[in-house]
Amino acid sequence: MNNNKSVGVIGSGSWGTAIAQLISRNNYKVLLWGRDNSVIDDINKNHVNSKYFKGIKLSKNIKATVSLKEVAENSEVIFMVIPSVAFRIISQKLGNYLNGSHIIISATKGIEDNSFSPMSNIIEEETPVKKIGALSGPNLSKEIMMKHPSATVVASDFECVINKIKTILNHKLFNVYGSNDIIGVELSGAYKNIVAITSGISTGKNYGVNTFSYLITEGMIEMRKLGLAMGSKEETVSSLAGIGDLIATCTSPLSRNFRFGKALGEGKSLEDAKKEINQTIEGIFAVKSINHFAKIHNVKLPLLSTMHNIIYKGKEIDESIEKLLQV
Amino acid sequence: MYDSDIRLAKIEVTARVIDNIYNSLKEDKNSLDVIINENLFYERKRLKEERDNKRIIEDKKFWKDVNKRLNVGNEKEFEFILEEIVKRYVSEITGHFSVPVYKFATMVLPRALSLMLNPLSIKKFIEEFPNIPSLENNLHISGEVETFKRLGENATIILTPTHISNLDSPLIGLVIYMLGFNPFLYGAGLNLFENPVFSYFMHNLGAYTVDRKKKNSIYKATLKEYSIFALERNYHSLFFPGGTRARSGAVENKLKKGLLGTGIKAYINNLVNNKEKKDIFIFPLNLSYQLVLEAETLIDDFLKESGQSRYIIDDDESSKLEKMALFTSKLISLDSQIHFRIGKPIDVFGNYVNEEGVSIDNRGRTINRSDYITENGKIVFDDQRDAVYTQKLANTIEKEFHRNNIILANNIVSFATFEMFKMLHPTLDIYKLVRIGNTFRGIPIKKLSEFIDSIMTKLRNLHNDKKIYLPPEVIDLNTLDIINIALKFGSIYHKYDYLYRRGDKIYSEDLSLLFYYHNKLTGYGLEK
Repeated sequence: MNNNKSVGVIGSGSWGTAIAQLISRNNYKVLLWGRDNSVIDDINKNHVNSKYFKGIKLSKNIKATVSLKEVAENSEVIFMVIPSVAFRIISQKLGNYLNGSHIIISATKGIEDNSFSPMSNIIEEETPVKKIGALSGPNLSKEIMMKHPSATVVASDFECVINKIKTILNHKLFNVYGSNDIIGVELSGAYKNIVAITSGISTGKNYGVNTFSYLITEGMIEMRKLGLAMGSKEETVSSLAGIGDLIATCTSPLSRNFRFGKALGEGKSLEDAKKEINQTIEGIFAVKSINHFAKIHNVKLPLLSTMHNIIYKGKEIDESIEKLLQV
Repeated sequence: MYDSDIRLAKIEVTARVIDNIYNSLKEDKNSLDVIINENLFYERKRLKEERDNKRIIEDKKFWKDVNKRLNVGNEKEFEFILEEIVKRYVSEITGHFSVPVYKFATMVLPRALSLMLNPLSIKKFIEEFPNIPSLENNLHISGEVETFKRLGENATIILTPTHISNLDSPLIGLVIYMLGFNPFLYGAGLNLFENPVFSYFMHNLGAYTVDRKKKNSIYKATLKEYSIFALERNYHSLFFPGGTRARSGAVENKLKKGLLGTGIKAYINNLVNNKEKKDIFIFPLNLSYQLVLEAETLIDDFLKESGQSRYIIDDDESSKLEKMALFTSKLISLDSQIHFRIGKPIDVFGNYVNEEGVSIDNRGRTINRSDYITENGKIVFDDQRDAVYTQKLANTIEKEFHRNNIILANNIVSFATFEMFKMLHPTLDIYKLVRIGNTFRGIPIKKLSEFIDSIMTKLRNLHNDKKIYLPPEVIDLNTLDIINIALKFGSIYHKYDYLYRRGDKIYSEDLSLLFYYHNKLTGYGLEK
């Protein structure tokens, strides 16, 4: 890659900031786009993003901006790290400045509400870019910022995209694996958020390890079933993007989907639980989207149906889980 | 291809194929004798299955000699062998374009084909030749006709039609002529060259041979390189991306990427060589017939147990003269129209192209095509990348095929009848269903009409949304007329009547055929 070019990151939330920090470790310049002027100023003046990571210094290679044009014109590779609800509109705006030489990587683990589009499809629909990839794995942003060793998967149809992302992100503390199963990686990334809510509920209910293990095993089986029905590869479920991410999200209190589920399990209402997290909870949208996929592909997914009943039909948690056990 | 280009092709294509093989040897750390041996293996396997004729006997002799030399040869000898193999393939593939033959063909063929479609005696044909209506009257061309003509002047075109029948290629040839173009370069199956008359015209009108029985890598590489060379020389080309005639009758959705991928290679070479005419545009083309000559054979093949179907069928209705004559006379006596619909142009990366030849993205923004293959302003060569772009191109062609699918009355009635029949036997799979035969008790016309009414409402909406195509003679028909037209075609040509009326019910003597004509409407959510 041309060294004068920066790597772009769209989204200055916790995961976007962590990705920017990861990239900067390999001495790449990073242009980090955000909407919140206070965050932008914080990064540019103080080299911190105190909204998400108090006390953690960011690399001086990271420059924040509010201009999508600036990112597009100065970056060949751009990571999209924004909530799925805003993904289309931002892609559309960014698309005005992109061309066929750009590489776009989605690091958003979600499916668009209503259209049920994976993020990679949205990029293809809203921009002229074709070299598209998806990044997914057990990557809790706080742990990455604390330089804990970790690994991830980048999926793309293009080998050149995989190789480029490996060059940008590979580090002694961060290993990047390649995959050409982009749909499998995106689907697993969305599904694990649903399972994380379920395991959060189990924790909130103090159900214990037996229930917890049962729920995440069932989640993994369903992830595999749906993946195969939708044309993804079996091995993706057993990779870092599947089981790897599932374990991380379902066991860590750092995961917002887990915390949302825990709040529900503790008896809080849906609205109160959302307020408590105060960040996008991708799993809520994923329940609806995956339920749609299950219907059109005629796949029975009892755990998913249970979550759909709880979140979208207001069913009782205890009763729903009892029913799940009887399936 | 013109003679001057043929001479160049023989040198250039041979050199490129050999170069590519040497480069791949370096990358794969393979040796030349292993590559030749592998090709020898596939060729001997093919020749074992072929019936002897002059060509096959010569082939056998050639490969026997290759085998002998491989066993005793050294590296230098292997290089000679490779060159001989490639040259042999280039000579076999290369077509030729003869201006006199073309002039003769364009004067005579439309009317000669018309003769085939009219019950005229040869004597009467000669007497009335100047006044015989040309077949052109039966052909309807719609869609992006003006864009096709315009872009054909400034860029190289790859026409990618759906493939229904062996009649497709001569008819498309006629359409190309009607649109004012010289013949397109067309890879025709080697079996079509067995007939001396057909072979004469094909060879002299730009067709090159494609032997789909040759599965070896050197042959495939030579074929592709020939196509790339021709595209670089601005020869408009025609590929059937489905590879073979659609067996099920449904619009094709699993396209072959082999020849299709030569478009991007030629485009890159054009950029590298800074050619004046750099652009290559792909135009999908949908065809539709009221009757399909080989429908019985095709659907029977489709319904064979998995793995039993044949990729190449050389003993179907199109090889039987009396069947052809019956078919063509029925078509004309029924005043059948054959439809051709040209889809939107697409670039080699799968983007749509506007009437000015500018690529546009899904949001209507203009695209600089060369960006897809450049990095920091320099062209990057990458086969894997190009294969993905070709897949994207295939996806867009499939989308266009689906959008421009031409629906005729018999498709609508076949679809409705078969779907209602399916509902009577919900537990049977398709294989059992089509074999029920005599137990098919018919569908009451009243119920069928109601279903067709609802289908037509949906079809008209799809047509208005440009998601399917209903020709003018179909779109405004009432349900009873649709049924009557379908019945006319359902009981006149095929061995068994796949649609006929008795009393107030519609029956079928051949459910496989009914299924075949029904399949054109699958994939639009019209099922009950």
